[in-house]
Amino acid sequence: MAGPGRQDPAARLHPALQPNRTSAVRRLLWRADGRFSPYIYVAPFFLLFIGFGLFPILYTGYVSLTNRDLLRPGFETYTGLANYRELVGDDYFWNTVKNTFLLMGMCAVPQLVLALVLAHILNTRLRFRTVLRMGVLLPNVTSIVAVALVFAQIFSRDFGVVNWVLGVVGVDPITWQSGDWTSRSAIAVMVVWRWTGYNALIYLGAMQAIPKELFEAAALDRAGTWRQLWHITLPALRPTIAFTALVSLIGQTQLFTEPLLFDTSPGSVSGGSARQFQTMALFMYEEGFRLGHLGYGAAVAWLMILMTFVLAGIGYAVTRRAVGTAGAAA
Amino acid sequence: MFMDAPRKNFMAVAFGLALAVAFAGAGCSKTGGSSADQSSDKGAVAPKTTAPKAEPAPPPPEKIKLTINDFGVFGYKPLYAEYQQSHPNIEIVESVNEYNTHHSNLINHLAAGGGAADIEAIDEGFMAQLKARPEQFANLLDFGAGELEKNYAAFKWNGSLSADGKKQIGLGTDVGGLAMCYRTDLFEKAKLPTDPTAVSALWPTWDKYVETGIKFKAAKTGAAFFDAATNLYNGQVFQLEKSYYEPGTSDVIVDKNPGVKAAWDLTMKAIAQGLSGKLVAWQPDWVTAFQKGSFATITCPAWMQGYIKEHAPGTAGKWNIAAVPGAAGNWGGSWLTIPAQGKHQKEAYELAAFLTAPAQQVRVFKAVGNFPSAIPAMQDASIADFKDPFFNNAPTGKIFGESAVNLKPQFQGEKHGPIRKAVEDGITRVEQGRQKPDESFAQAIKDAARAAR
Repeated sequence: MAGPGRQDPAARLHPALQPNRTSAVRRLLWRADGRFSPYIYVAPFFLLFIGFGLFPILYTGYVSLTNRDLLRPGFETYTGLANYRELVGDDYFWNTVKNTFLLMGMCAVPQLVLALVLAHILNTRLRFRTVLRMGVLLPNVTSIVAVALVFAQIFSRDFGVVNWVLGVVGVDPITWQSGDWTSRSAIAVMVVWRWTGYNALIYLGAMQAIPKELFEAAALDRAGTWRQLWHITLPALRPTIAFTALVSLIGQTQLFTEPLLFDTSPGSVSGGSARQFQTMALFMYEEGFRLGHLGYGAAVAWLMILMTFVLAGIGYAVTRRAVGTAGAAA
Repeated sequence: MFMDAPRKNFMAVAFGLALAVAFAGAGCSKTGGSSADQSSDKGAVAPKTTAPKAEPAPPPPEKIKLTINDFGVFGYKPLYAEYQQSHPNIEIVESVNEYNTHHSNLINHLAAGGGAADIEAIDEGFMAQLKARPEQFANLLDFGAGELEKNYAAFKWNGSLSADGKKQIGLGTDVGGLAMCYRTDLFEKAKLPTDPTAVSALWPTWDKYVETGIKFKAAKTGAAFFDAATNLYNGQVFQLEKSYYEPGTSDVIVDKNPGVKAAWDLTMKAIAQGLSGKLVAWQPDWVTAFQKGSFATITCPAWMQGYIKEHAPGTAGKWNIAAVPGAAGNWGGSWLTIPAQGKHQKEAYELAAFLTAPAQQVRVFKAVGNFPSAIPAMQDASIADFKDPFFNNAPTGKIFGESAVNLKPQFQGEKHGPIRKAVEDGITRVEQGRQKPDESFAQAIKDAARAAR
């Protein structure tokens, strides 16, 4: 593929390996090459994945079948599916499932809608366009701990900006952490702020792949910019939207740092005094690392993995449909 | 795509083989130890063989870096400098974290078998849980800690002793004798006495304390009477002889202990009367409230003085300290421990022994307020006379000294910390108006049982 013309690279090899001296060894080598060398090329990724991806998942699966104390490794007792049986009847677990899915909706929907609008604005002629396009990514590269701490200040009861603004219009100060919906909204704001720019850039990339002629034709027909967004951009972006929706939903199942640092009592992993914003990931951490029930925590982790698989499967089916219809429309 | 022309792929075979050889070589060098590997492994030794000018010199004393992880305000900075001067080969690196973060980091590092510091501070709230796993820590008796036993109050020495009495995992730093810190300026505004003796006379019991709060509230100073309901609750519970566990057993008695229920009920009364600032202890709003004078009193274990001084230095002279309502009690106080995974345990022990020696405990008390746990330090004449200008020259040595003498140790079971958190969450739920007191107490009992599993 690299040599000039179609010169056989084998010609430069040792005489013993010359093709005209075809031997059983050589033929074997050829076949081995065709069959095995691709695997060697992809091996580095898979070796790393097996070591740092697959093994921990499977080992967690094993731990979830045992009763094991965090600080006493090696003293586990095999209990079969007991952890799972207990988990299925655990109200606190289902509470975290509910919270996780509620937060998923509260985070993903506004985030993707805002990202779309933002991408549309960035796609028009603007001054400092490159600066702005890079700027929307800033929230995403900011340290998540810093983000959560700043937002905890913004939503602070006595000295927070949000309550101050509400006070100006005559609303009493809100203890954001204590309510069901106030706490979840505040967490959703954090997540949306962090991920909107990232998704906007993905949309922007997809928008630039849409043929300009479509927009020009629409402009000739006097379609305004928002009408163009609705009738040209959106249909063309369908596969991209499905992709970003899938990725952000999967990301939300692991929501951890924001609710952890948002909690009023420092280091608390119960997600508020009544577990009003405890997510599955926080619950797993509480059981495994705070209360030391490593086996139970591992069972939570495995149920999270299964839910992610289901979500990914649904997402895959939806994406395929979206791509199919987009292809048919083009 | 790449499979259809196997004949053209000699280069690929060659490359693949080379890759395989490289992998195998890398695998071998670990066990076989090729020469190239050795020189990179032991970079410091290599010059000796390659550069002839390096003469065999007497090895300098090995430079040892000791790490120490703690939380809050231990007040050790000047002591490190002194120790490093007398031990030139020792370098001390301290890392301070927030209380809960510090302890959960420690637990995770112990579980992972690596990452813990050479010396780790452990507070009373986590000690019961961690000393149930003594194999994770160095046995300080092996380093000769036995001779220090006579220095310590029995409850402090036993507090970090393993259940079988054979392993001592910590050296005591301080005890958290109880007092009540109050703002003289706010008391004056509310036309209450400001002199510590008169203030102490206001609240011989916690009931009287709450009554005083109702009077304070009626005076409409704009400040709350106390910071957080959990601190009022904990102040009472730490005075009980038994709290969440039947002493000496692993039986959880949250639901059967009348002392806990009484403390809960009085706390509920104070919340209903609107005496609480509804703050959450250790949280940024709470720290700001210190600075702004948003509350008039706070349950003050000795170490709380350090927090106030560090977070609200501008309030110097506005505070004073009175006796705590009820009996004497202990809240908190720490130990220095040496994780078994540490590489310099002997050096770490020497440093820990220096930091916790009676003479150093006296100095720490005078600087930040943490009250000594060593008897010779408690009895030190300079402590009895000590007055702290930050607290209006309150005789803090006398106040905390008396409460340390009268201390009755409380038995704490393995899951004391998580159980306490479960009950505190219950108090916060009522404070936030999420639940009625009875409903919340029922849930707290359930949560406590769950935490104790």
